[in-house]
Amino acid sequence: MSDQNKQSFLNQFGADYQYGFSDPDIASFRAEKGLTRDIVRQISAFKEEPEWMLNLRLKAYDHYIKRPMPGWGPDISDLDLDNIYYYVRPPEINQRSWDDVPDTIKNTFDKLGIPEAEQKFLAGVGAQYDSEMVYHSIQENLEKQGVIFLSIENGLKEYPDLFREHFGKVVPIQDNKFSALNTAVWSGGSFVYVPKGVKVDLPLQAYFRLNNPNLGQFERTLIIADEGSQVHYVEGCTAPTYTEDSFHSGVIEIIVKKNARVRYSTIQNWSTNVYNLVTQRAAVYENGTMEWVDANLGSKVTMKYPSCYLYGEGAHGEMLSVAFAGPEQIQDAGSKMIHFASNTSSKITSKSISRGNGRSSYRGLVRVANGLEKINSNVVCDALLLDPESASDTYPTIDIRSDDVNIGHEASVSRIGEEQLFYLNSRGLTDEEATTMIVSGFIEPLVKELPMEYAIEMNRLIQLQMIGSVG
Amino acid sequence: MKNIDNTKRTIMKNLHWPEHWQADVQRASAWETAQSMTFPERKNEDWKWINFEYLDLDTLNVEKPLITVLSRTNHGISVLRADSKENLLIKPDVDTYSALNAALSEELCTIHIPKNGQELDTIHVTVKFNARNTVANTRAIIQLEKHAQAKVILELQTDTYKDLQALLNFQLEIRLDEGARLELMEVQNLGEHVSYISREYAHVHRDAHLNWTYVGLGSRVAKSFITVDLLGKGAETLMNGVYFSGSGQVIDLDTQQNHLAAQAHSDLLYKGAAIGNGKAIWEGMIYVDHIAQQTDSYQSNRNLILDQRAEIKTIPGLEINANDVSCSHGATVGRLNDDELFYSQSRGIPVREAEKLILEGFFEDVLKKSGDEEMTNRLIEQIFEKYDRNHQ
Repeated sequence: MSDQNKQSFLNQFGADYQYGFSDPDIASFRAEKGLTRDIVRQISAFKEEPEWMLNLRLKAYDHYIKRPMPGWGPDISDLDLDNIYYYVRPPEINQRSWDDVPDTIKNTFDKLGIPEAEQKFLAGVGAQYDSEMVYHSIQENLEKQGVIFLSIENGLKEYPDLFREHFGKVVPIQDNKFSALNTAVWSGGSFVYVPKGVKVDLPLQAYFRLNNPNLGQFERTLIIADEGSQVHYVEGCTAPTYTEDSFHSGVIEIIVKKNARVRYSTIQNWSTNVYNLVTQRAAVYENGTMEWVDANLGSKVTMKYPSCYLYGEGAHGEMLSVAFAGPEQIQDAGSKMIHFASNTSSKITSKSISRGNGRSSYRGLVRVANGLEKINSNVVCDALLLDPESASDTYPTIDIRSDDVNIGHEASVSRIGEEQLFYLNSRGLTDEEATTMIVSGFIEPLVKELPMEYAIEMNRLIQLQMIGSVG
Repeated sequence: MKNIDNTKRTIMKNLHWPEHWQADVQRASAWETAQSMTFPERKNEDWKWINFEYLDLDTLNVEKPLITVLSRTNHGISVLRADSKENLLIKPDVDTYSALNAALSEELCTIHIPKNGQELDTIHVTVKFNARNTVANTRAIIQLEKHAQAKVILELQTDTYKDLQALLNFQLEIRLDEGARLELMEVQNLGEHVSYISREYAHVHRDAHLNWTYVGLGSRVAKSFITVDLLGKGAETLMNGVYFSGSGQVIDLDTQQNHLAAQAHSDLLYKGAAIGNGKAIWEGMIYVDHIAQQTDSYQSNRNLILDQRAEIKTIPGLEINANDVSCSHGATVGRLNDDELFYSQSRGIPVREAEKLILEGFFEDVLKKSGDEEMTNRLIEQIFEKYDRNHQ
């Protein structure tokens, strides 16, 4: 990042951006920059993986090399895939107790509020620091219920059969270039299994963050909700500032079995030099419900389209998202709802805010396969443009191959009304306060769906984003 | 000036460079461009839903269509066979079709209404193509000078020849100068063996008004790119569309509302239906430039899907670069309402008749915007006929 960019980045958050710290580099092992078959082998060897996983990684690597960059979407030509570390391992891994966590890492988590996560209202925490889980805890009663909440590496070691049955099935290697890359080099992430009929009352949380310049973070999460179970998984991230472009490309796979219900919430706040190219997908079976709650605030470019593949009758998919594109940011986010079974329904609500020369785009797909009955889908997109430099796009695709359907899409783009501002001014609020209040109201439908501590963080992040937005 | 050697050309075997245009630099350069390009493929975003690969281009011969102009006064209309020196709005290098059109097309007709001219009578142009293993590259131009007014109906027709092929590569260019008003109804009613590609482009200047109704019923595979540039304050366009795709047909429409100046207004309503294994595709975009403040722009696409085998795609789009705007779009896909059908049956109206009544109401709403009752009725009849033919 040039000095100028850095300055504009700092300005965007106010000069005292509270998460804008960077710890001394303590990683113990780094692969070379760039990616080769040998590095893929090394990663697999370090993790002491079974043969099948190494083969899968190599197959994914071959596909990644073959596959061209996407020919659509925002410009990511500045992303230099050869100038990235594909694997970094911190010195200690998977400590069970908070006391054993090294002080530097602890300091970082302190600033992020991790100690609170220990408190009894939180079900369990897997915190990702660099590319491995370094900290893991899970409440005893969850363990008793048979809920598995492990790092993805330990998931593979301790539950090899369950893991192999589901891994890479929802997002296959061939899905896209970046999911192939992730499958080749994945490291870190969570493995969650909720047994039949178990309802996890409190959200499972995994904080993670990037800490090395040019470190590519390729987390992989696999969530299996067995029949009739319920779980809410929360992923939130803040990243320190860097001096060079960084890259994040995760893959999230979720299996929602019969009558199960899964909610996956994300607050994405990478620093504004990160390319965030993520594949998130859920396979939803009979009468299952999948809900994505997604807030994209940070990163330089985000391309993220969480999707629901509705395979079973009565399945329901839902997406609720907010994107905030500040100066120099592109938020290219959306959702895909693919109906493969009759009596399925889906709903997408997308809200975006653009400021400075930020650009936010909704890019979505609703597809209904042929020969289905009673399909309902509704998509609503609202965009708010805060100044003349900001921009907003909407690209929904609706592809229908059955006749018994009821499909709707609506989108609108507007700015903050003069009357709204005038009214709030007359009540003694400055333009900036008034604008912040209106923006907070605009995203309220999403914020109220988040766990309390995230809602507070979310509101604070929006306030930070709004500093200097007026005048 | 380069001499063009026909013997080396392979793009389409029977397309040749006519001797009488040897001296035309623009056409010669477009011909060169055409030779350097290949026909668009599915991997190109604009063509991802269709292509013309089934066409055997080398068997097609060049044809000159038959044109009839019905207008009491013939005021301001010329049917030109000669070359127009006007600069084209559609650039030759967009794709192979536009290059071929720029190189080889002869104007079907140029309708030119001079300053303050008012053509009260509807100018009704019917173009009949032979379409028996032929290819036609052709274009129509409509120009209205300052404050001129006109009503135009443009119909493209052929008979249907089941075992034959034909390609029609059509361009329509519209220029409305300050304060001009045009009501245009365009009806594509080609035979169901014809492959149709059209590029249609309108420039609407300050305070000018364009009411453009597009009707797409015919052809085997049709691809139309319909673009309006709003170039001055107070410019306005209403874009109305009706398309109905039956068995064996693909109708794929791309619309673009470009707001390139402040305080312009555009309102699009396209309604589509698909029956049998027909496919109907619409992709629209509202583009608002950063200088186009106080833009007022809408886009709406409604679809009826009338068969389990039919396919509908709708892809509305917004690209907004100014903030003081009011822009929205909506798209729906649904089938005929069960309650309405049930009610009609309870009143003794058979299902099929009831469906036709609903279809009539669905499309009439758009056709009426053209302001031409006689055409509206005639088109509804054609839609009924098509419905019956596809409804076994």
